[in-house]
Parts: sequence; C-alpha cells; structure tokens
Amino acid sequence: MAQSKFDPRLVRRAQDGDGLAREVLLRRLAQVFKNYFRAKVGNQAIVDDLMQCALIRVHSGLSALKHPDRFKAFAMKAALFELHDYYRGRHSPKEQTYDTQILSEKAEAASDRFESTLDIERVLSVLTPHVRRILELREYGYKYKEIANILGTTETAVKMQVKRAFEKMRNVFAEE
Amino acid sequence: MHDSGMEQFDKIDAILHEGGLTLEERQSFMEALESDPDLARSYAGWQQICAHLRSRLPDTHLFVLYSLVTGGHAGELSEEESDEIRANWGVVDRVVESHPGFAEAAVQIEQDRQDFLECWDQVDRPLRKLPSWSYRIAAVIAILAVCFVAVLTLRDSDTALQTIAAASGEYERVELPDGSVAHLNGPATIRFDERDFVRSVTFNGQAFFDIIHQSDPFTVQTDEAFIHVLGTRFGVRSQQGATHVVLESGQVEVASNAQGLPTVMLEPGQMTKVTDGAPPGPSSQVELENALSWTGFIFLRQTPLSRAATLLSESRNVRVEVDPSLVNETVTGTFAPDAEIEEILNALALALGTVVHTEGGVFRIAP
Repeated sequence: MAQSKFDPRLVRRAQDGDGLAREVLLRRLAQVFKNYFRAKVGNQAIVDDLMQCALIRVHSGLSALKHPDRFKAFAMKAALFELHDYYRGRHSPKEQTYDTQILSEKAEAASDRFESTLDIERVLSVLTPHVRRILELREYGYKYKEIANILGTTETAVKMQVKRAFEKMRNVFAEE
Repeated sequence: MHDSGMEQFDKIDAILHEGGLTLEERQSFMEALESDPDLARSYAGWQQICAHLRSRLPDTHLFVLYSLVTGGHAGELSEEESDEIRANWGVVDRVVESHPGFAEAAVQIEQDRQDFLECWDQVDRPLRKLPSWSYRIAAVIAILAVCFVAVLTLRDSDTALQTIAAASGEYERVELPDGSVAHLNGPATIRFDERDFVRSVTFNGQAFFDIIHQSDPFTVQTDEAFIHVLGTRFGVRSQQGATHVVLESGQVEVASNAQGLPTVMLEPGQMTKVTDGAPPGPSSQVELENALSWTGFIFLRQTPLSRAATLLSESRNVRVEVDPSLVNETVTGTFAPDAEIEEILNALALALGTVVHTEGGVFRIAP
C-alpha cells in the first residue's frame, strides 16, 4: 500500500528523537512551505524567512503534538500563523521608519489640540461599509492589490475608494 | 477633489502603508507638514484612524483558530487550541461581527488553508510500493536470522529510510546513493534516506567510510558527534557513550552533539574521541594499523612484508609465507574486509615485482 511522505510513523520517530527521521520530515515539509509561501507572497527573501520561521515553529512544537496522524493540520496551522503574522507585521510599528516618527511628531506639534478631540467613531461613520471593509483589510496588512483580489475588483478601483474616503474624512477633520 | 489633495493623500498613504517615497519626497513632505496646518491635521487624523483600526485587530493566533472553526474545521485544532478559542470566542467574534474587513480576512484564511492543502498534496505524492525484490530480500533476511547469520538489511517502507545493520563479527558493504561506501564491521547500524539522499547518515557501531568528493559536505551523525567531510576515508567507532574518529586520508571536522562547543579538524593519521555533550578531544597521531583494526580493514603503511603476511594470515584464516629474501621489503595498501586473499597478495606481488605460489592451501610470496 502506498505510504504518505508524512507517515505518522515517521512523525513519531522524529518526536522520539530520531535525528534522521526529523531531518527527513522537515526537509519534506520545507518543500510544502516553500511552494505555499511562494504562491502567497512571491518575494524570495520573504519566502525564505517565512519558510524558516514556519519550520522552527514545527520543530519546536513537534514534541508536543499528541497525535502524529494530525501532522498535516499541525503544519498547516504553522504556515497560517506565520503568513498572517507577516501580513500584520507589514504595518506594525516596528516596520515604521524613523522618518515616520519624525513626521508624526511634526504632525502632532501642528495639530495638538485637534488630536485630543478627534472622535474616531464619528469620522468612521461617514464611510460606507464597503470602504470600511477596504480600510480594515488594509490595516490587517493586505496590500491594495491583494485587497482587490479578495474583493474581486481592480487595484485602481480600491485605491480610488480609499482616496475618496480620505477626502471625506478630511472634511470631518476640518470640523473637529 | 483637486490635484494637490490627491497628491497629499498619496504621500500620506505612501508613508503609512505602501512605502516608495524617496528621501527628497519625505523631506519635502516634512517641510509641508510644518508649513501647512491643514495637511498636518489630515495626516495626524488619518494616522489615528489607521491606528484605531489596527488596535481593534484580534490576536493573530486566536484569529486563525477562530477562522478555522468558522470555516468548519474545528477538528483540526488541538485540544489546547480548542480550549483557547473557546475561552476567547466572544472577544474575537464581537470584533469580527463589527468589522466587515476582518470578517473578510477570516474568509481569506479559509482560502489560505485550501491553498496550503493543495501545496501539501503536490509534495505528498505517496511513496511507491516496494518492488517485489525487496520482499524477497526480507524473506532471505528472515532465513539468515534463523541461521544466526546476523547481517540484516531492513527497509523502512513508510519513509524510504534505509536501515542496514551488521551483527557482531559480520561485515557489510553499504553503497550509499551518492556513490560513497560505508564498510560496516558489526556491530553497526547505519540509516539514511535512500530516496532523497542529502549526504547525511546516522550511525552507531564500527565502520570505515569511503566518501566520494562532492561540493556538498557529507555528515556522519552518531549519538555523540557530527563528522563533516567533503571527500575522504575515515573510521568511526561509536560505542558505549563515545565516538572515536580516525582519519586515513583527506580532512574531517568533528563536532560534539552539543551546540556551541569547539570542533576539531583531523589530518591523515590523526584521531579524536567525543563523549556525550563534551567537545571533541584534541587530535592525536596514531598508527592506522592499530587505530583502525576494529574496522576490519588491513592498513599497511611501509609495513614490513613479514608483518603484512602475519596480518593477512590472521584476518583471512589462511597461511601466508614470505621468502627470507623478502622479509625486509615494505608494503603500503588498504584492503577492505571483503577483499579476497588472492586479490590482496597479487596486488602486493605486483608492487614488489614478485610472485605468489599456492601449494597445499599455503600462499608463498617469492622473488
């Protein structure tokens, strides 16, 4: 009978400290991760980073996997966690540049009074659900092109929606 | 909306999200912020909106688990993960309910999951069924085991991992997929991935390795040590909590199984010893004939012919005599345990310009 490359017996051996079994298992899994992240992200350097992080996640969590026959789901979750951590990290503070901090300080200095009184919910209420969806997807970490794919539209259309939203909000900012 | 507003938005958006502004553009924007309170207000406001939305994002780990459950895959969560998402369900659910974009992201995770499974299936093409000869070998092994001929060859059908074992006193020549050869002198066990061979084996026992040269290093892993080589010949004895490495030719690097410890480079004729968790001992010069006797090989290095005859007689259980006129001649050579006595003697005779006579089961090297 044909056997899976990720046969539970191989997983069990890897868990039990068989160095070669672990090496074989992770090498096979690396190919899955590589194909997956390449399809999702494209950029080779990022693909390599994600692949390494996902492999480390599997490597460090393998001994705690109670059911070797669930290795596929275990690996899948490792990939999803890494992919979505990566999406989130695109816009996280650690990704912001020093320039952005300086810009923020200058903006704060120029609009100190305004900042403390801005009613965010009121500003957001002027947006349509569609635009809010776009903004939320963008803050989740997706790029305009990816949002366009998710929503079945074009990147240009998405960007135009965001620009219009900005103009609407700008008017509200002016009233604040 | 007039052009300047659009341009301002592009710059704000580029700084907050998409990047791509040159240094000059950033400098220009900073100056604009200082001179244009309306722009500064828009920038600060937009920044706050974005930060507010990000602050509403649920934890990534919980969000992925939540999305798997809502996608109908609760069975793919571990017990701990199930407990975790159960305890936090309300928090994540409320956020997703009130943010349509995050709900969309949850749906996207379901798509991500399906994409992963497709990639998995592309790689996880089942291993082929073993050819029938493998089963025949297995049957022969069983018979040999019963007959106390303790050379075992077992194949792991599930992983393509090959395990070859030689029992005490037995010799097994193992040809590795890259053309290198491991000469097991039992007790010894070697394991490697036959299908996706990456020049790496795990090993315990006694063996002499003849590694062909390639750009990729070859690694022998024992319980105590890692031995990294490019192309070389060396003996490894991994028994009773210690690994001995003796190098015949080439160069090897020996490392402990514990990380961060210094390694030792061996030159031909040197050996080192590694114990569990300790760094390799300093290299020391040895006589190969003695230091590698446990490999079952015969190492002759400018060895007097009379001594060579004694070694051959003992190892092959035959009688080898040397004409008195040749006793002070010396010979050099390395002979594997499976080399036939006639083959060895003819090689020596050829090197010395002598002949080999056989009479009554006695081999005699003569001028």
